[in-house]
Amino acid sequence: MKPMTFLVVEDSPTMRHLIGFALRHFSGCRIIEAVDGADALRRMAYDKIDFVLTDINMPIMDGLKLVGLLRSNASTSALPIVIITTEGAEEDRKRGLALGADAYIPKPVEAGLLVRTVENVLRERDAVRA
Amino acid sequence: MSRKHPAPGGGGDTRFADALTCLRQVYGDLTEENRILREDPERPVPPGIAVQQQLEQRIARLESEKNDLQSRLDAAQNSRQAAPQQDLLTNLYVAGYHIHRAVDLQAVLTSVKEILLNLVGAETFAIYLLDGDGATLTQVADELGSPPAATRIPLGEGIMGVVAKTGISYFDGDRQAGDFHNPVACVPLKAEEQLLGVIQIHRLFIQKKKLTSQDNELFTLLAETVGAAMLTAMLRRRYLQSANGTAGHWGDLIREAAVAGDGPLGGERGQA
Repeated sequence: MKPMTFLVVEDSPTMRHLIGFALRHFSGCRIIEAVDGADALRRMAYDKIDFVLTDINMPIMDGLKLVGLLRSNASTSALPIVIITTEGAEEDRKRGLALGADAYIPKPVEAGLLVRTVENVLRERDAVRA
Repeated sequence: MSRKHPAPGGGGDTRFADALTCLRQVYGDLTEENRILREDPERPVPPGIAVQQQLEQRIARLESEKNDLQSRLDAAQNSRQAAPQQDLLTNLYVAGYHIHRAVDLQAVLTSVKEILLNLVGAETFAIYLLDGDGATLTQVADELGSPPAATRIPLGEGIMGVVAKTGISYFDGDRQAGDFHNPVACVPLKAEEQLLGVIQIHRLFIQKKKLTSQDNELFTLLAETVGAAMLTAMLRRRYLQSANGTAGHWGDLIREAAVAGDGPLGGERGQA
């Protein structure tokens, strides 16, 4: 697998650190951090992103709005997206997945679960391509 | 009926010997031919043996696949068994990093709140600090979503008061939700065994069913390090206040500590 560039969108520095640390499992990967949805869009203008992990509850632009915008844009519509949120409620998960997120991880995030979820999303996408 | 045998020393003996020699030669030729044929890789194999060979090859292939799957399964099981330990170490590393990088009290409290929200999965909680009188705890930070039941607690009163007085953590691994009077966890914050404050967790997030032994490890880290970080932050604030709050004086403090024998320079001088 070629080294990937992950975009971690999360307003909490602790969570950005935890997620970035867990993603080091993918050797050679690059991790770009954004503090909210609007910041994520700015970062994407300068960097080619292979995978997005985003929180839902964030100031300025939340994760659901970001997922909607990415899915409606031709250049980002196929990006793998995983949603991370404190809200384990079914409704939130459904909204995220309905907007086109590939998977959902509840907080508190377990590093191992995060890695397995990213691997599963990549495997499923490979299977679809094949 | 009688059978006639050739007379001894007659022509019959010679013919018999010739025939025997001839037969031996034929046998030798056939044996050699058989050997060559057996060693010829392109010789046609009888149908029965060909099927057997194909089956043997298939068995070998399946054995190889089975071994491969078994080794992958073993690796996956090992990885799964190691995962909770790795998760715990990751959480401890991230929590320790963020507590120790904070240099002012508000930053320490913010880090603790983030750790409780994101690493423990606490939905409602409050952080109390010991007052100057050493007899009461006052709430300094919270994530309650509603006014607190009490902002000042006497030491020894209720679960939190007892935790503050004894310095021993309270941890209920069977419940997801409680309240101010009946929290799911209470963690004393200490520095050099002196109590500085208490964290009280009232309720966990809906997806977090109960506290685990991993959370207990994280609480131990908080209990032993947050107090020290707070103490450092308070000392820094006091120093900056005495130095009129100028940032440049922070470097002076480090130099003064070294001269006084508290820092690395003092340590080296002490050893010399």
